[in-house]
Amino acid sequence: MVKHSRWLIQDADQSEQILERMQTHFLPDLICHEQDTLTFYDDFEWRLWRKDFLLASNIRGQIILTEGNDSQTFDNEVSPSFARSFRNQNLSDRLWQVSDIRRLLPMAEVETSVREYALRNFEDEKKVCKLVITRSGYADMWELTSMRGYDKDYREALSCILEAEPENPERHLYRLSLELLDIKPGKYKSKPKTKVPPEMASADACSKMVRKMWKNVRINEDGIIQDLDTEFLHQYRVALRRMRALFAQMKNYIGPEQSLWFKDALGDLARETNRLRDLDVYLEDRDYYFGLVPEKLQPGLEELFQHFTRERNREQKRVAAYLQNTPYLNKVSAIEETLKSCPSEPGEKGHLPIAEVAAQRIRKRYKQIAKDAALIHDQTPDDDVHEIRLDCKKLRYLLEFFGPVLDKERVRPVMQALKKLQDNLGRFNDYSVQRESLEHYLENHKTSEEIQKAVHALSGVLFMKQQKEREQVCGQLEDFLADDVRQLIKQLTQPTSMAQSSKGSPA
Amino acid sequence: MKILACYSIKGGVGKTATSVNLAYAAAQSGLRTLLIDLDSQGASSFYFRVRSGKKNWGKRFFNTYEELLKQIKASDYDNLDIIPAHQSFRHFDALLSDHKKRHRRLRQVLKGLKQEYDLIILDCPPTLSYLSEAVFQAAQMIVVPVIPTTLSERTFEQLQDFFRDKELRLDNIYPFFSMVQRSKHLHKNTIERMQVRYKNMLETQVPFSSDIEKMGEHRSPVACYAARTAGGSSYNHLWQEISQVMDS
Ligand SMILES: Nc1ncnc2c1ncn2[C@@H]1O[C@H](COP(=O)(O)OP(=O)(O)O)[C@@H](O)[C@H]1O
Ligand SMILES: [Mg+2]
Repeated sequence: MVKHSRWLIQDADQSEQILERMQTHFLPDLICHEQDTLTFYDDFEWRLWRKDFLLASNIRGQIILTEGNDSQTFDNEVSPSFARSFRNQNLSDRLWQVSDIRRLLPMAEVETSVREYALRNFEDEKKVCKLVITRSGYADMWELTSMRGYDKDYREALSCILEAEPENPERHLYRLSLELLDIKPGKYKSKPKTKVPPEMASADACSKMVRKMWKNVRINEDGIIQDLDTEFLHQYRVALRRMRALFAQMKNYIGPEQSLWFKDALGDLARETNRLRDLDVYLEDRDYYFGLVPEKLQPGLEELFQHFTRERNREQKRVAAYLQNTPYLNKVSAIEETLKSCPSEPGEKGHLPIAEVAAQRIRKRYKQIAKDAALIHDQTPDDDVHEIRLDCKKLRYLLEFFGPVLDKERVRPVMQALKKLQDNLGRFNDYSVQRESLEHYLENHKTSEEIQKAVHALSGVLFMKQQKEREQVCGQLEDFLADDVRQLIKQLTQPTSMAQSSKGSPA
Repeated sequence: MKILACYSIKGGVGKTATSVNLAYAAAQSGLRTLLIDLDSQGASSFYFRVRSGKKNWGKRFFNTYEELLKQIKASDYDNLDIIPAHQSFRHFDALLSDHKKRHRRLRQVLKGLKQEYDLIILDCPPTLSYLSEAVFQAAQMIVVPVIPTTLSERTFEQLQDFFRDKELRLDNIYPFFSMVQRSKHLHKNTIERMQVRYKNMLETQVPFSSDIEKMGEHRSPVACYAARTAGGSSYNHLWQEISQVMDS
C-alpha cells in the first residue's frame, strides 16, 4: 500500500532546483542530515556482487543489503563477518544462500550524505510524504515514500519531481558509485578455465592449464594463514588435486619424468594440510553428526567435538607457520621454476593436438568404466566399487579440463549424467572414510568411555548408510552406461564435433 | 490485537491527552498502533494534525472494517496510524440504536483490523450511551483518568454502577490519577483514600503540567518536545504499567 519511487539525479544543482520547486507545494522539513561512510563487504569470490547483492555497514551500526534495485536496512547489527553471525534471521538467511560459510571481507568504502525531509502540508504542517536524498560521488538518489491516507499529496510531490525528468535508475546508486570508484570483482574462480586452441600440442596445452591452476594454490595461502575461513584451505587443496590429476592422466604427453616429479612435489604440499582439512570438515558437519546419534549419546559426541576444536586450532597454527617457513617456500620456488620450463621433455605423443588427445582419453576412460562395471553386482567387494569410483573421478577431471576444448554444450549433459553416479559413489565412499577415520581416532587417542560409545553408535549408523548407498550402485551404473549416455560420449568425442569447434577458434 | 479505551463520564479530565500520548508510547515501543478518535470534537485528530475527509462517512462506521480501512491516515510517527473524528460521529448513538446487536457491533468491526495492528486505542467522548457500552464490550482494558477530587471520585463510582447494572466486567476498569497537584490537600487525601479502595488503581500518576497543556501549541505528543520533564515522561511510565497489565 505504501508507494515508493526512486530516481538518480546526477547534477547536484538540478537536485537543489527541484527541492526549491517543492517549496511551492509543501513545507520541506529537514529532519536529519548526516554524513555516512558505507563499507561494502563481499566474500573472496565476490559472490554477493555476482548475484547482484551488495552488503554494507554504516557508521551507525546498521547493515544495508541491496538486492538488484531494492535495499533494506537492518538496525543494531554486528559488523559483518559470516552470514550466520548476523542477528536478524532474514538477513542471515538471505546471505547464507549466497555466501554460506565464506567470510565477508571489506572491499570498498563509499562516502555519502543523507538528508531526510518530511514534506508537510501548509494547513496543518502535517507530514504527508517522506523524501530521502542520498548523495554519493556518483549522483543524488531521490527516494519518495507515500504515507497512508495521503496519496494525493504523494502524487503532487511525484509530478513536481517528474517535471525535471530525472532518470529512473536501472541499477542501485551504490553499485553505480562503486563502479565509479572502479571497484569490480577479481577474476578468481575456484576452477579456472584455460582457453587453449583445439589444435595446440597436448603437452603445451596441459602446461598452460597447470600454470593457471597453480595460481590458485598461491592465492589461497594468505587466507589459510590468517584463518579467514575454511574455504581457503579447501580451494588450495582443490587446486593441488586438479594439478596432480592432470599430471597423472596426461603424463605420457607432458613427459613422464617431469609429471612424476610434479605429482610427488604437489602431493607433499597437500599432505601437510590433510589433518586440518579433516578437522574442518568434522566441525562443519557438526549438526549432521549430532543428528545421527541418539540424544543420550550426544554428551560423548560433544566431548569428541571439543577435542576436535582444540586440535583444529593447534593444527591451524601449525599449518599457518609451515606456509610461511623456508622449507615450504623453497618447495614452492622449485615448483615455480619447474613450471616455467614445463614441458621440458614432452612425451613422444606430446605434439598431438589436444582436442584429439582429449577425445581419445575420454572415450577410453568411459570404456574402462564400462568394462569394470560389467564385473560389479550386488555382492562384489567394496574395493571393486572404489575402483570404479576412481575411474569416474578421472573421467570427471577429463571432462572438466578438456570439455571446453571439445564442445561446451555437449559436455554439459555428460557431466550431469556423471554427477548422479558420482554423488552415489561419493556418498558410499564418504561413509566408509568417515567411519574409518573415527575408528582410527579411537585407536590413536586416549578417550573417555562416553566418546567411545558415541563413536561406536555413529559408526553403526554410518555403516547402515553406506549399505544403503551400495544398494543403489548397480542401478546408477546401468543408467550411466545406457545407450543415451553412450551416444552423448560418442557425439562429444567424434572427430566431426572437434572439427566444428576448431573452426571457430583462432589458430 | 489488543483494544484499549480511554474513557471517563467527565469531560476535561485528560482522556485525549492520555490517548494521544499512550498511542505514541506504544508505537515507539514497536507495536503497530491505531488510534481511533471517537469524539466528534476531534481533539486527538487535532493533536496529530490529521483531518477527516469532508464526506459524511460516520453512518457507515459500523458496517464493515473495510469502511474503516479507507479512513486510516498515517501519523507523523512510525507504527502509528489514526482514524480521525468526523462531525457525523455525533450521531453514533442514533446509529447504534438501529443495530440489533449494538453492544457487539464495535468489537465486531474492529476485529477486521487485527492483521494490521497490534493495538487499538479508542479516545472516547464523555457520555454514557450505546456507544460507550459498545466500547466497554470491545476493550480489554478501560483506562479512566481521575482528577483526585471528591467530585471525580463520585463520577467514577457512577461508572462502576453502570457496569454492575449492565453486567459488564468491572475488573476491566483501570483508573489512574490525572492532572495531579501534590501541593493540594484535597488531591493528596483523595489519592490516599482511593488507592486503598480500588485494587485496579494504576500506580503511575500524571502530574498537572504546563508541558502537557502545551500540546495544543505543539500539536504533537508531549514526549516529542519535553520528553525529560515530569509531565513528558509520565505517559511513558503509564504505558509501561499498562502494557504489563495487558500482557499478564
Ligand atoms: N496533566 C495535565 N496537565 C495539565 N493540563 C492538562 C493535563 N492533561 C490534560 N490537560 C489539559 O486539559 C484540557 C483537557 O484535557 P483533555 O485531554 O482534552 O481531556 P478530555 O479528553 O478528557 O476532555 C486540555 O486543554 C489539556 O491540554
Ligand atoms: Mg477528549
